Amino acid sequence: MEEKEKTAEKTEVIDNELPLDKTVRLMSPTRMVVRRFFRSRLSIVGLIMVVGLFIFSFLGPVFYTEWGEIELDESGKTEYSVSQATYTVNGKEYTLRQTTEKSLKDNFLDAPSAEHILGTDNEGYDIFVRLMYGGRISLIVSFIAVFLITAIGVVMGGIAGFFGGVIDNIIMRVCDVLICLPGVPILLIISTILDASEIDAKYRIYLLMIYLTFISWPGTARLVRGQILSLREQEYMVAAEAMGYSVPRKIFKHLVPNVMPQLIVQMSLSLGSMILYEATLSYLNLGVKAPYAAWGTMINIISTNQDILQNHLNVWVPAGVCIVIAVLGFNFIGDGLRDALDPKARR
Amino acid sequence: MLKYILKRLVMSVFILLGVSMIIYFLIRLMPVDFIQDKINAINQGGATVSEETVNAMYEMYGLGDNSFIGILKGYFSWLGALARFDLGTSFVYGIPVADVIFEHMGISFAIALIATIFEFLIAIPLGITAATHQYSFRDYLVTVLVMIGISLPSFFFGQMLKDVLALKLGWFPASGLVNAVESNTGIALLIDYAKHCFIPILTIVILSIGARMRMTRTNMLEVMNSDYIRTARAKGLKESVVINKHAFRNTLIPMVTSLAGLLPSLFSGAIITEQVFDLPGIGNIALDAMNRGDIPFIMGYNMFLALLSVIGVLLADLMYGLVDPRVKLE
Amino acid sequence: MSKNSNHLSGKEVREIAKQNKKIIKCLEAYKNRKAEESEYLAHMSDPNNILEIDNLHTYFFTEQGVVKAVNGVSFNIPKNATVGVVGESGCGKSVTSMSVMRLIQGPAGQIYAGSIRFNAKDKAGFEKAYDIAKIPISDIHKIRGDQIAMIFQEPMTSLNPVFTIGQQLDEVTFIHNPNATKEEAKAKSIEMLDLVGIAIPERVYNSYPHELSGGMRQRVMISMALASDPRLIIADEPTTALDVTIQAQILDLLRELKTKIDGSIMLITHDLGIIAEMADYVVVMYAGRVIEKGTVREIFHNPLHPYTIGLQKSKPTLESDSETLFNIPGNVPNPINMPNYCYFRERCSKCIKKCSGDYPGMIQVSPTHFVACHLYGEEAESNG
Repeated sequence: MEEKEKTAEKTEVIDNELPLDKTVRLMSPTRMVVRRFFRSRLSIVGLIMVVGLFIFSFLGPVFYTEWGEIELDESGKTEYSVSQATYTVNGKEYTLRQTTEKSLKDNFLDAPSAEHILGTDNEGYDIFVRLMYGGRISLIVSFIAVFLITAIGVVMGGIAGFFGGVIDNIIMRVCDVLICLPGVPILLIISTILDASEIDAKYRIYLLMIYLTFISWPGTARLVRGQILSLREQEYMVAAEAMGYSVPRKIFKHLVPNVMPQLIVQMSLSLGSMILYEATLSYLNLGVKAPYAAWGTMINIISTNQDILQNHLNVWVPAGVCIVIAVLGFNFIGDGLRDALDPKARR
Repeated sequence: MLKYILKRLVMSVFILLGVSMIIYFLIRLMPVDFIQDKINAINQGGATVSEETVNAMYEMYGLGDNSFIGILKGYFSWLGALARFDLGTSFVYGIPVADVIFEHMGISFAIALIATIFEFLIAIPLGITAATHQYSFRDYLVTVLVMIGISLPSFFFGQMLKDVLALKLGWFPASGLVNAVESNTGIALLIDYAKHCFIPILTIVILSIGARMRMTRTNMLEVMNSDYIRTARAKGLKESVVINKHAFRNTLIPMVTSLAGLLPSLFSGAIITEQVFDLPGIGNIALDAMNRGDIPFIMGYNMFLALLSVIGVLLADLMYGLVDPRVKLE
Repeated sequence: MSKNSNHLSGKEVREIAKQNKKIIKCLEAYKNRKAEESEYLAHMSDPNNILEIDNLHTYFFTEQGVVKAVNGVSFNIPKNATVGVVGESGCGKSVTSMSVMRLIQGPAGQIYAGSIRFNAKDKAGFEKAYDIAKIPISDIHKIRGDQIAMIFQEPMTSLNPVFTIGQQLDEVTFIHNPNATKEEAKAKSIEMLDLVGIAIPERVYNSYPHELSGGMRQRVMISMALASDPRLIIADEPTTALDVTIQAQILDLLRELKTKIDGSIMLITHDLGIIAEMADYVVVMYAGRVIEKGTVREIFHNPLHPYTIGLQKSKPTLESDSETLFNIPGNVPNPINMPNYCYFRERCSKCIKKCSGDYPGMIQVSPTHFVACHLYGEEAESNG
């Protein structure tokens, strides 16, 4: 009798309110990542930098159409100088006015003005506009390269990690060899080859980036392979095997979500380093060649021209600042993502 | 242990073979008349590349026969010469490539070594404070500063320092290694060297601190969260001892591994920095050789770098065994 | 209710972060302050106690909310006694011990309120009570490792892998006696290794941790704890990671040592068998609170709280006939935003009407036996 009463009371109590576990409200995993990412001010700054540069480079030329990438300011200025002289001839005074017209086509190395926001360079091109076009090249090229590196790296690393044995051995030895290739010097050789085969200046930077991809994929491949090897050892993979899942299903269901966070971080960090690579190549006059604009190419001039280095900061400093903003932005984002995606990171 | 090293050495030889093959085939991709053009240009520039040298190179590289067999034959003849420690004769300098490399390596090595020492001296304490004060103002400040350092392109930052410190303020000479006007000897010469190398070294140090500091910070954070650090605290050790002895000794493990990875960069020369400051280091020489088509030198230089990276990887593994008592090399 | 109601909104998350930041800043400043000794001197309520934990609150300020891992825990450890703290994993027993050692990982983890009075012995041999919760972190080494030592749960990872056992043991001697010579330290370390029953102490002295087995490493950990002649040893699940035969050896060793060093032991475990064997007093914890405490006799022969009863029933015995093990339904609740009613209510088979009311207070059943349950509150009221 007493027992019964108590049971009745118990059910009543539980019906009244939510059970204890349900009163706990947690963050959804997505919100947690987003929150962690935005908690760091640096990630926000990085995001603003990168988005700003994208708008500047891709939308800038659409709205600011004063000058083109290789458009010279040929308006020229006409200067008039007036000289006046008074002569007395036969007691009569004559005033002689002489007007000289001098046409100046002097738009090289202009200081910043309303017409040319950042002035012009030694060729007479508008620097502000060239910054936009240079940004396009840098951003496109580095995105393509990073995309290719990731794609090849994931495929190769995946194959090596999954099949193991001889295949793994071959792929890893190839990685060893590629990692030992000296990066910049070989880029120089390839650039020389491109010079020899007279490839259009517009496309050579893409060819160089393909080479960069070719020597950079082993990093990603090793990462993916390592992850796969360690994941294979984990209980849930053994469980998946026991449940009879097929190999592709295993890849997509279990491994991809585990490798993804690290890949995203690596991608955003290598975007920065690709921009640096591209800029360095262009600086060495091996990447984008004049008259086409790239941030590195715009700085190249100071290595031969001391006058510009010292007296015309507007020619080269803005390009350098753009490179720093781009690389720094990607680094901040990469760092923020690493913190946000790391499940171990506790604060 | 000995067996392990031998095994690794054999593997390294194979890696080097692979690397040399790639470099060789890349060079063979150059059209022959292009090379002839370059040689002519060098000759016009005042140097004389003797017919003999050119012929020796043609033979060594088997140029002219672009069939597969021809390329393969060329590769093996180059390899044969390498086995006799013959890297060929530089067009530009007219002396054996190996001599050119050794002649210019010294200055690059000195600059890289000093820069690396400063890099470690500055980056490690910064990394440790950033890690032990995680998420504090100090951590953010250090992180932002070193991240800016990582993000600076070397040519841009180098030129900026040169413009401000050398040209505008006139504190240091802008380029070269020695003062061209005075002829110093002894200590005066050393001071002159130091003056000329100051800005290049400063450039390299600021650019490289970032990566090292981030690495120290990450490792330190990982170690600080481990159980044995808790034990050390529980023993009653002072926080400074916990950090500087127990934690630091453990962060040394990855640090030492990365040390060996520095080997190539110690000898290879910083191409861009040397170019910016016009230093006669090996990097700058290589850049020049590249522009002038000095093929024997390019090939020799790249092989030299590849050799250094292979040795670096091997050394890294051996050092790992020395620092971490848990690691047994087999 | 929609599915999303179980997730915090962005606004709430920001609000939590804002508040956490404020509180943590204040608590960190308190922890890092400089203070005169007089500021953290305390008075033991009973001079026969070595440790008095009084209304201790240790919170973790996470981005999901405040986790009240230890929420008003009070118990005493008498001199020369072994006090066992039992509970399921996640009930706050380890956090309690970490609070005593002041090893809570900041900035998220903080001692929020309460006092931990410890009856220390100064150099002259006089007793002097400190409030550990009030000691600034820079002065904690006066007590930590010196008068209170701790043995951890994970012997495999608790020793620094890059130093030899000898180096790590000598260190303790040097902290204790900075003037000791190297030889003296070594002699003391070897003596300690010998004391914990290591057969060839000289060889172990020169080995690295990875060369030893788990049981050996735990012995080393114990010898390290003993090397400073502590008045209180906190053993946090010292045998969980070891296999059964080694477990028995380690427990025997602990019991033996307690009489040798003439100190107290705070033994944290989830294994009632170990408690029955080792402890004089038992503290049962549930979701960050003490729900029952008493002498080992009282807890085992007259368990009062339904949770304690359940715990005992779920212990496998040879005598019982039933084929299945008893288990308490449900899990320990996640201690964020705990409501103000008995946390065990939903898992309890003896719920009464009063259980939907406030959290029950501690009810004294005998001079040493306390329980926090409404079942007995009524009895006590009707009896009294």
